[in-house]
Amino acid sequence: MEKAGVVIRNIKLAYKTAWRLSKKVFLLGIIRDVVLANFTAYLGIYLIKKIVDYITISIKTSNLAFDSTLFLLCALLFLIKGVEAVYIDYITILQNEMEAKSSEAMQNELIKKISQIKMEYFEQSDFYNKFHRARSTASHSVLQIFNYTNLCLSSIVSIIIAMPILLNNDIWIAFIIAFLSVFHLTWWIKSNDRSYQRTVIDTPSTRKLGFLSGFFSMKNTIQEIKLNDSADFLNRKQKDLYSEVKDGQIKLSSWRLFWESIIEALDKFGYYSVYLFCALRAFAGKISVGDLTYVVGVSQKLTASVKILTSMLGSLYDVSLMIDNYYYIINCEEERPFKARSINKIIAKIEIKNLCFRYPNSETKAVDNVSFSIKSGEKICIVGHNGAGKTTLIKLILGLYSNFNGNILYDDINSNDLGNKNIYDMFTVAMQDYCKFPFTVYDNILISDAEKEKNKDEIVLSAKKTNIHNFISELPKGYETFLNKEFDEYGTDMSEGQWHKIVLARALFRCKDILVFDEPSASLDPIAEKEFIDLLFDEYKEKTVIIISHRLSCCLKADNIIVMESGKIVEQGKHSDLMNIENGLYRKMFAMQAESFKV
Amino acid sequence: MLCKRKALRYRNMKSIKQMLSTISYIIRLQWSYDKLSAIGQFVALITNQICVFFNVYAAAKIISIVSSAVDGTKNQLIIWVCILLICEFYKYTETKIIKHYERMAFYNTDEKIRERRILKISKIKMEYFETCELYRSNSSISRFTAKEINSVYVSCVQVISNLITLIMTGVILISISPLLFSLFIVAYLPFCFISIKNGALKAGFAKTKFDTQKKLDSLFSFAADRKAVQEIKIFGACDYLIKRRQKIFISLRNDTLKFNLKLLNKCSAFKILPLLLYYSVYFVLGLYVLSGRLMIADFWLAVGCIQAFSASLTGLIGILSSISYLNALAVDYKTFFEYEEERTTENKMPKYPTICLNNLSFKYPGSDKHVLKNISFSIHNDNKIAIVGYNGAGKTTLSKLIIGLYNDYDGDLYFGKENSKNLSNKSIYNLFSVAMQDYCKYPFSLKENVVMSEDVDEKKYTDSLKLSKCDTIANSLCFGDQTILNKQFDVNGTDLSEGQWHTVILARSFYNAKSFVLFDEPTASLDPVLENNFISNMLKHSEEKTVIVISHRLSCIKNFDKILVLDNGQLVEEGTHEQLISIENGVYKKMWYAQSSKYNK
Repeated sequence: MEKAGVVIRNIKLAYKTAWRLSKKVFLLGIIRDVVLANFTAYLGIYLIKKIVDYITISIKTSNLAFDSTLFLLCALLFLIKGVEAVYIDYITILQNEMEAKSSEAMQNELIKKISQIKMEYFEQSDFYNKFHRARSTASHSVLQIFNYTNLCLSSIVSIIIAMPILLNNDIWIAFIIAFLSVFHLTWWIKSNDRSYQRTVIDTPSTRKLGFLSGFFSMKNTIQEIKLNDSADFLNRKQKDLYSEVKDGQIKLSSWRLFWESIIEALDKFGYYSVYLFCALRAFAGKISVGDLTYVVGVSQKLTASVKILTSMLGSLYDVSLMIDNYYYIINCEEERPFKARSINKIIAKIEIKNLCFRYPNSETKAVDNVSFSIKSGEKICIVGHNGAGKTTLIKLILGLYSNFNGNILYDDINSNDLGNKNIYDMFTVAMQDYCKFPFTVYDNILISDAEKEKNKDEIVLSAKKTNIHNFISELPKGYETFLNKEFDEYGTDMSEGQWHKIVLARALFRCKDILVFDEPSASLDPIAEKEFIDLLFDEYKEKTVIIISHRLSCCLKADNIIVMESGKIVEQGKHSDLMNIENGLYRKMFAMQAESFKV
Repeated sequence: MLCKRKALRYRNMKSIKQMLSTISYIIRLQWSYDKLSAIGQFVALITNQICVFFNVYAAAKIISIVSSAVDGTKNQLIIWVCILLICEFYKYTETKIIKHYERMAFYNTDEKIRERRILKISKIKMEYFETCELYRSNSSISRFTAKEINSVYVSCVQVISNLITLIMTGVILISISPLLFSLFIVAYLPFCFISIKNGALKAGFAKTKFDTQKKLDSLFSFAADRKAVQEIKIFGACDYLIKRRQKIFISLRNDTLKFNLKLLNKCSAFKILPLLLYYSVYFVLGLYVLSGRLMIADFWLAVGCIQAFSASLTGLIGILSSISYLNALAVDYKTFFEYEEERTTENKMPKYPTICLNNLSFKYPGSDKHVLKNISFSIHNDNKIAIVGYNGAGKTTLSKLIIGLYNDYDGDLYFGKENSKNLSNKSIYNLFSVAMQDYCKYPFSLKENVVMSEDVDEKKYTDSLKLSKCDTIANSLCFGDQTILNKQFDVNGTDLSEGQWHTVILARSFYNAKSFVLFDEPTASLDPVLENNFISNMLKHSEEKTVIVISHRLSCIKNFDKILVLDNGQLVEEGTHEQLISIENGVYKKMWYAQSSKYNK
């Protein structure tokens, strides 16, 4: 019963969507499937019966003369078939357009939703599975439901027309066919259920296979495959994944084949018994030849309609289950909504109090009881071993994760009382795992503040600040060069250092009061590194700057250095203070680096 | 005007020739992958058509028996109905069996295709990966699966089977009324031409649509990737991305609609004509029956034959018009596998060679700018060499040339006495163990990421973990070194920080240790302690190895035997640390002081 509920709910939604997208196509689609198809089919069969009866029963003359009745019948037949053909082609194109519009709307909904839901979802593997299924349904499922339901309605109408005709001719076999339909239906639903379960089980492997397929097209993967001679190993990994999927699918299709054959065999048997029955009656003269063709045609249509009805109902169930993935994503918990005028534009301080955080499904605390404060205009450096929790701490301050213990106060306002976007609006950031936008250089810098008035000068200014402007101007298309070889012949790749400079320009383009940099100098050469750090300390004097870095040389001028170890703050203070701590971690690391520079 | 027409005809001939050669290539492919299916489908399709013909004939026979109602023919009637039933059963069962077997065969063929693709990718010359065409064809062949190969094959067989039906039914129709038959053909001809032309236009349009669709899809994948999501949230860039998609989408949708409507309008008029003739045949034959010149059974036979005839004709036209689309995919597939491969020779790489570069110049394909200009130096055995320079100076490119990735350079590169152009690429790869700057993070377990093979040398494995300090990472994970290093694909997976990943990569290069080692920015994401540890360990364990390191961290390489300084593609300075420091206004000196000054205050 709940299965019916799932289907009905999705049918209602599909009809609403189709109506909203285009009333014209909605009505035309219904007319085509429910009215026109049945009308032309049955009228066609009837006209043929009339023609056959006419030419067999009427008095034969030996003249080859024009016969108006025959002409009328044939002309009528031509008319309805011709109109149907043209109408169907025309409608199909309009429906394709409607489907494209709906799929685009659904995909955009997904993109929008993805950027609004809580970041915690991205730490769960099952979320990705559901998203993958949601994404594949977004292309066509809503309208599929609309079309399938129309076909169901059309089959019902067809059965309603066919049954009385057959019963009139004492074809009680019609009842047997109708009974078989129940059998059909249960089988289709079971089959689609199993098929959907199979899809769910296969989703992780399918996703991995898709990922690997794209992975193997990337340049850096291929150079590693060549250098490490790992083509065979990777091939075997792919094969293993694939055989997991293959075995399950083959079992399922063998099962389906077996039962489908039995059902179709019963169908064919039923149809040909009707045929034989009518042929014998025609032979005995109880019905005319025309009636024979008529009844045979109608019973063929009846069998086909029953088959369509039951298989569509089964598919509707399957598609509804898929669409539920989409609604799962749409109903995911969103971030806290934006609250206008809830906080000053320029904040004076950020306080972190007893912050504890662990990633979902993880046992260890990534951040353990961290407390410190940041005042406006300060330059803060966060240092520590790899995996100490520096990046996680930054992400918490930026407001990306919300399920933490402790408090973060922005100008004495608790983060829980602010919308996530309120917090994002305070910062500009260059992450360590920055994203490479597959479009132009211009887009890659603009993306950090796309709503700002498109001012090319500002973009060029940011690029000049990070010393990438000269390189960009020498490219064949300058700022309009695609940073992606696939979409454009003039597309180009860039070295890691050059990408990093563009990402830093991206951060500088977005002028907020607090700048956050996670390993800004990892890929920069010594001169670029020095210039960038000097830029931050000199030109951005009034702004608050937070830097995570392994290059302790940038800590010299910092107002506060935070030293982390296993999620905890072990030392805190200015450079000179920390260097005075006996056996201090900072002192040890700094001395190590300084030592290596001594000749 | 005549020249233009001749040129057009020549172009059409050439494209038809090309299409035929591509199609024969695909058919041979299908044959090589799966002979059984190919034979089965061939037999099935041909016999199906014969069944269709039988159906028409049997139906007419039944009508004739029923209408003449001669006594004693009742048994014949039952027999003919049974024949119909058997025909249907045959058609139906063998379709089902073939389809099922086909499905299983597809899985096997897909596996083989994937394997072939990976092996080919690993052999294609690296230069192609700098071009746009390779990425396009690489992504286009991912759409070319066993199903598509089979469709090409099946389409060709269907052409033959449809022709058989056309001939069989045509013969019957001619015997009934040659005039009607020829009129029918004439009415269908314009429709044929238009359909085939439309098919070719559709194929071309689909190709351009595919590129735009790819852009839309890549924007979607980009926006759904976790790395991008965190930046999209902070920058509030979601609306901007949606607007970009919207623009692309609207133009795509409008173009598709206009194109389809244009095609449809052209087609409709010509579609009506055969339909008109079809029903006028009813009329004319009906008149014949009325005037007693034709039996009702023959009428039914003629009508059935015309139905089969026009169905086969439409089918044939459909196949011919869709073949252009399949051909476009097949061409991409073929050209992908015809990309030039790397060199393979029997020449042996000398043991412990001295590497000599002589006036080496290189520019990426499609670019005018030389990334490397006239580089000459040599690397002796057991030397520790460092390559430094500004961003974009060409350090990574130089290292890629040395390890044999790129082939089309000017100048010479010698390994001992052998010129690298006489050695196979593979033998050069086997000389080096490499840790690249843009390393790959495989979604496999930690152990697999280090070992990258199924046979594991356990001792070597444990040693390399210890050496790179990767064992501490392995111990901190829930499932130890069996943990999958990717949260997205595995419920029990975990994500590592950038520095931790870098440690894993170093463990990988220690495991694969060869006598020549290349590190590209090995300490970029490492904290000071790990950095120090890496350098001392690396030097300690590679006393008998030749090591090349690219680094911005000048403190790491100051004790190396030779430091090469690149600037704008040229080798500007060469020597030990002490020698380079003493060069007035030297690049190295500038960089050294930029880094060290803050420490030595």
